[in-house]
Amino acid sequence: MISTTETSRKVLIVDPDATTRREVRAACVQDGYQVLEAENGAEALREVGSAHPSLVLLEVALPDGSGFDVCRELRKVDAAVPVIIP
Amino acid sequence: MMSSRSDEIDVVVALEIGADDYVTKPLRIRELVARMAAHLRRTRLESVEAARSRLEFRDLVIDVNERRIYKANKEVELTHTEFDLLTFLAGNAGKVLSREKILNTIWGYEYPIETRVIDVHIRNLRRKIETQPSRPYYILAVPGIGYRFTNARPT
Repeated sequence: MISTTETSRKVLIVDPDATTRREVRAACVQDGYQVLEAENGAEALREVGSAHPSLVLLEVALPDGSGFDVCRELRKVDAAVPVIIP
Repeated sequence: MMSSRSDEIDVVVALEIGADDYVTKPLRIRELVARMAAHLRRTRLESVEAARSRLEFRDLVIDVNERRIYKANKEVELTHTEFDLLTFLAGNAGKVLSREKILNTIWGYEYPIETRVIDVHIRNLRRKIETQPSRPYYILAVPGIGYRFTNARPT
């Protein structure tokens, strides 16, 4: 069920693959989320610092390094935001 | 999300470096969105219903409303899931909690999920709150069942 609270939730999708981002975005939008996208780790960290997403979907294989490293750095910016990685 | 590297090592590493959850390949978008919803629902519920505002143990203080943890008067940074897990365990101090109970309460999934997820988060928590993580005082393993938080309170 989509509530008004749900619609204010921002999800950051971090994935270099445009097709994956598009598919995940479509499902998120369908469920009422706002969606932010990042193609690499640097973009992801910028988005977390500036847009303060409610949740981050983080691919491990990124063009500018490992998603693991990004997760560590991300924790310095926001210690509490839920992060889901494969 | 959703890399092809979903072997066991990656899963453990992912959780150890502070991820809250993982999704294995092949990616099932509906499962992913359901898991996202579970995490976000948890966040929302916590923001409106912090049952008890403060849990205090020997040298550990959990400020539930502020979502802050202090170990020997020094703040400890926990991830979202680590905080929820610790609060659930400490809020049931002295009781044995099975892995299934912990999974259902903290992750809230109906999907099958590996219990090692809990073990990795427990290991991370111990590193952060125990004086001697290899000889834990607060979070005790109950072999074959799950975990129990100490019921020792400050005098």
